[in-house]
Amino acid sequence: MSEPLRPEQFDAFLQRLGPSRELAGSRYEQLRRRLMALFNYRGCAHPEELADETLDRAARRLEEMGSEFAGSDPARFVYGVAWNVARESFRRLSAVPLPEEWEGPGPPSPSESDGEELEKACLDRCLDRLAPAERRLVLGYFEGERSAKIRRRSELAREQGVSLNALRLRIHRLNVRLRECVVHCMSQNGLTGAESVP
Amino acid sequence: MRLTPDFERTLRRYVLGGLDDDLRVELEELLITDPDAFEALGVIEDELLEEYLEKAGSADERQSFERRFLTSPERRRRLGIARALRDRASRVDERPHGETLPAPTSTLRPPVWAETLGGWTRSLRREPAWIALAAVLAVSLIGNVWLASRYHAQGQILAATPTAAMPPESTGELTAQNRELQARLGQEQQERSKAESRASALEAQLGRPRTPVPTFALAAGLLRARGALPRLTVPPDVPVVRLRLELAENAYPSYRATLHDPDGGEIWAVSKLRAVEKAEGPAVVVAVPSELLPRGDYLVKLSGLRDGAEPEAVATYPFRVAAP
Repeated sequence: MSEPLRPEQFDAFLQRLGPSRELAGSRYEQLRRRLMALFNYRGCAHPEELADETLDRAARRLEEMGSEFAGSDPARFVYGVAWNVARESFRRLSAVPLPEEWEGPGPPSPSESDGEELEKACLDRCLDRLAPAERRLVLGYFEGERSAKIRRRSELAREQGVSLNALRLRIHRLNVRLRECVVHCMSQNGLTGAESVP
Repeated sequence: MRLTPDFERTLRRYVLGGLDDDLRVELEELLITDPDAFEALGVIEDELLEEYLEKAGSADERQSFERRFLTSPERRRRLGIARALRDRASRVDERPHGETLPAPTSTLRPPVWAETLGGWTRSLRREPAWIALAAVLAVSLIGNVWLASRYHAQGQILAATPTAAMPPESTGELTAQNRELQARLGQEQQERSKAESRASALEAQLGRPRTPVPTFALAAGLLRARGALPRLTVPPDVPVVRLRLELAENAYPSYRATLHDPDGGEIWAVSKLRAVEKAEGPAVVVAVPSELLPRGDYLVKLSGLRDGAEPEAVATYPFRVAAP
C-alpha cells in the first residue's frame, strides 16, 4: 500500500480540478464515483479502494510533472492511471496469500434480504422528503405495466413539457437522490427493522 | 453523440458485456472524462434494472446482467431499492384518498396551487380545529387559482388582473401572494429551461466527434533503414494509443501481448486478444495507455494462446516513442 497523500499534494490536485475548492471537491467526488463504476465493470475487487488509489497516484504524478503536464483535462490523465491500477489489482489478487491465522470465513453478516423492510420504510421516508411534484413524478413514472407504462411516460413528458429523453434523465437524477437518501437512512438505522426509522 | 438508439445500444452492450475491447476502451475513456456520458450510462443501468425486475429481455440478457452488473452488494442494493420503488408506485392507487396526490390526467402541467390546495384540504380533514383558518386561506388561494389560471391561459401579467373591487388589505395580501406565485412560476420555468438546455447539451455532446485514438502499425522485428526503430509520436492529451501488430498468419485462437522496456522489464500485459483479418493481412490490435509510453524505446512481445497449452512466442515488435 502506498503512502497517504500529503495535504499539499491533495490541494494541488484540487486546484487542477477546478477554480474553487467547492467546485474542485465536487469534481473530485464525481471522478471518484466514475472510477468506482469503471473498476466495477472491469470486475476488480474493492473498487472504492482502487478509485482512491488512482486519484492519489494521479495527484502524486501530476505534482511531479508540475508544469510539464500539458493536458487540459486531468480526468484524461486519471483515466490513464486507472488502467495501471486495474492491471495491478489483478496481479495482486493472485499474489495475496491468506494470513496464517486465518480460520475460515467468519459468521455471516445480516443477509441483504434482512434489510428489505427497513429499505421500504426508508424509501417512504425519502419519498416524503421530495418536493410533492417530484414525488408524484417519480411514482407516476414507475406506475403501470408494459404498454400502459409507456403511454403513461409519454403523457408525463408532455405534462412536464420536456422530451422523453429529458424525462428519463430527470427520473434518473431523482433515482440517484432517492438511492443516496435510502442508503444514508439505512446506515443510520442499521439493519434492525422498520420501526427504528424516525 | 445523442442518447440515440445507437449510443444506447452501445451502453447496453457495455453493461451486459458484449463490447469488443477497442470500443470498450473508447467508451470507458468517455465515461471517465465526460460527466454527461456517465449520466447516460446511469440512465441505461436504471432501465436495465427495471427490465430485470419486469423479467423483460431474453434469458441470456438476464444472465449477463446478473453476471456482469449484479456483482456487488451496492448494486444488489440498488436492485432492491428499484424493486421497492416499483412496489411503492403500484400501491399509489391503493392508498386512502387524500394520502397521495392523484396523478395528473390533463396534458397540461398542473399549476403549483393544486398541490398547495391539496395539502391544505388534507390537513382540514385531519385537523378540524384548523378549519376556520384553513377556510380563510383556501379562499385566498382560490383567488390565486383564478389568477394563476389567467396567467397560464392568457400569458398576461398578474399585476394587470383587476382588483379594484376588493378591500385594500385583501388586495395587498393577494398582490404579495401573486408576486410569490409569479416568482415560483418563473423559477419552475427556469428549472425546466435549464433541464432542457442540459438535455440538449447532452444530446449535442453525444453527437460530437471525439479525438480519434491514434493507431500505429508495427511489423514484426523490423528495423527501418540504418537500423532505426519505427518511431511513434504520441499526441498529448490522448489517453491510449492502438498498436497494430502485424502477423504473418493467424494461427492461434487468442494472443497475449506484453510491453517491455529496453532492459526487458515487463511494463504491461494484456491477454485474450483476437486477431483481426483485414485487407492488409491479419493483425492483433492492442490499446496501450499512453501514460505508459513516455519518450524511449520499447518492445512488444506477442505470444499465441491455446487452451491448456503454454503461451508460444509469435513475434516481437520494437519501436521508439519520440517527442511530439
